[in-house]
Amino acid sequence: MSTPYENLAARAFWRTAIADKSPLEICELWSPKHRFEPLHNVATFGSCFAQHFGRALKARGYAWFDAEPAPDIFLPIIKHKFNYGVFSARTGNIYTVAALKQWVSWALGTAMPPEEIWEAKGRFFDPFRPAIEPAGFRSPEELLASRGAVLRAIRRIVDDADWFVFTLGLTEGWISRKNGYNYAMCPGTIAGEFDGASHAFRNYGFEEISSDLNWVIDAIHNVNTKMQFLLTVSPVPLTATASGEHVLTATTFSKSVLRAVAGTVAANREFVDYFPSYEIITSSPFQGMFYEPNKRSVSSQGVNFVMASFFACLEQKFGDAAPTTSKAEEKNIPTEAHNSADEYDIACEEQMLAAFAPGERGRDVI
Amino acid sequence: MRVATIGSSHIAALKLAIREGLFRPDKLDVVFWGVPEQAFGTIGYINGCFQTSHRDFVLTVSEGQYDELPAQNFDAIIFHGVKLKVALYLRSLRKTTDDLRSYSHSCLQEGLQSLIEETPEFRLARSLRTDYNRRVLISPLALTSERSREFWGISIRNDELTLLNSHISEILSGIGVEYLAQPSDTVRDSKYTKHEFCANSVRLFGDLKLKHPENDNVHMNSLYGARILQEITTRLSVGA
Repeated sequence: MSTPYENLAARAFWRTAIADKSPLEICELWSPKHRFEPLHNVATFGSCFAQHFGRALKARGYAWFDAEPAPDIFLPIIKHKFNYGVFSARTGNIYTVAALKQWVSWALGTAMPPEEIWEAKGRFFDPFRPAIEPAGFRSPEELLASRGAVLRAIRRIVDDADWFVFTLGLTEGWISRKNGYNYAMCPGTIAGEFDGASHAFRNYGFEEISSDLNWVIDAIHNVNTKMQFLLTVSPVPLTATASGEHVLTATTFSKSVLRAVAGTVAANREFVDYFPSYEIITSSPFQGMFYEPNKRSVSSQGVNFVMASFFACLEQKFGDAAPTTSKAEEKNIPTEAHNSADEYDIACEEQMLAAFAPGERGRDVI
Repeated sequence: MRVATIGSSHIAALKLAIREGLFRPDKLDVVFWGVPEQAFGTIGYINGCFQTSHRDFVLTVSEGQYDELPAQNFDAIIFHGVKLKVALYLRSLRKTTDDLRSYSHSCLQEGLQSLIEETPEFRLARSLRTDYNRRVLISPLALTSERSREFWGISIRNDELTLLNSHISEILSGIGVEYLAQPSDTVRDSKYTKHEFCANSVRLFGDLKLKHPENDNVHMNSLYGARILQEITTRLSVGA
């Protein structure tokens, strides 16, 4: 009598898919649901690792959606310094789904941004993207005008993008005890001042993250029914945990929850897909080879392998080769492939937490 | 007060204004000195003098007075027609945002500074500041004539032009240079120069007798030159 396993492809079996292959030959890790058209407007957001997606798409000539571009006359070093071209809007890293929900709700006008602004030495910092201006804003008015621009940019993305790529980074976050809103980072780490009476730690669980992610997807899809979503989970471990657990077990918990949420949401929605960048970097067959010596940062080889896998899987499924850079230009979509800040390191605020480790306090770790 | 006005072809408008009597330099003794734009890079500031390999040309422009220009002979140095690319900045900034104020002051300042620092006049002014402690002014290349339609379909608010000018002014003040923004009464819709200030502009060579083509929307005429000289006079009379 036959079993369901008899006719499965080689990719379904560990020996043929993994054990019999060298790590770099492992393939077919993703079977994309939908085609990534070269002319699709692709918006990217999320944790640090999400920046690699945007860069790879731009480099391959896809129409990466820069909804809040820097003035084109500015030098790449200036654009990078002020965090233009890092994500599709100037949100900075969005580490938690709760924070993403917050941005989307503000952009769609279903909620209003709080009035809280951080001030230090006469400069003003946005609690929801504290590192976006290297030295802070010169006035609250300037900060609010800039935030207005980012919200308009997100709204343009909701209205016009074809793909919304989001990399889930963390389950841990910090909220306002009084009003419940999410901070981008723990107050006091990059800017602001920590106050235990005002700020609370949250380690979001499966149900909450799943609920928030579904809310975001519904909210966007209700406005733009052509929007498709691609979820990934960052393979970058936590820099630090406030959960009380060991940072390794906290990382495992965090990534496991995020992976489960992304997989579940993608499995239940036809227009939501999951790409396994997390597995490609972290799983045992790859033996940690894609990490830098700090066992946390993903090497450029790792990033390249992830993105090569991404495009290879698309090509295998749909037969599309990566487009040339001219495609985006033909569509007159802003692209910085030839004048970009991409040669610079990715912007990763969470790394700032390393400065608080014993023996590191007072040292510049970035 | 004796002032030197250094520039490229754009100083022709100022020279002609004086020649035509549109501006009477009662208290201002103005010397013009410069070369066409394509040769402007040959100008250097060495041992207290502006020098160029085009000695005959600058001698002609300065009415036979200076084949090199000793800065200390003057109470003020004015660079006119500097390619600060105000129009380019406005167009680029407008292309990426519907409100220039959505860029932070720091971002605009650093972005513009990196561009302005590349202009030869900025480098000359910075060199000049090493041993010259009198007043130095920079007057920009005028916005193009309204006939250029360079900003077709793009609107600029006056407060945005003012904001941009204040940034440029701040950047120049960082090296001790005063910015003489284009007079507002010569500007149309915050983005063009009124055509009346552009028609019948003349070339710097040929003793100011050769006109630019009618479709030249970049060079200004003696009316504009007179207006700039008035601005210079007013500025120098304040805090002198």
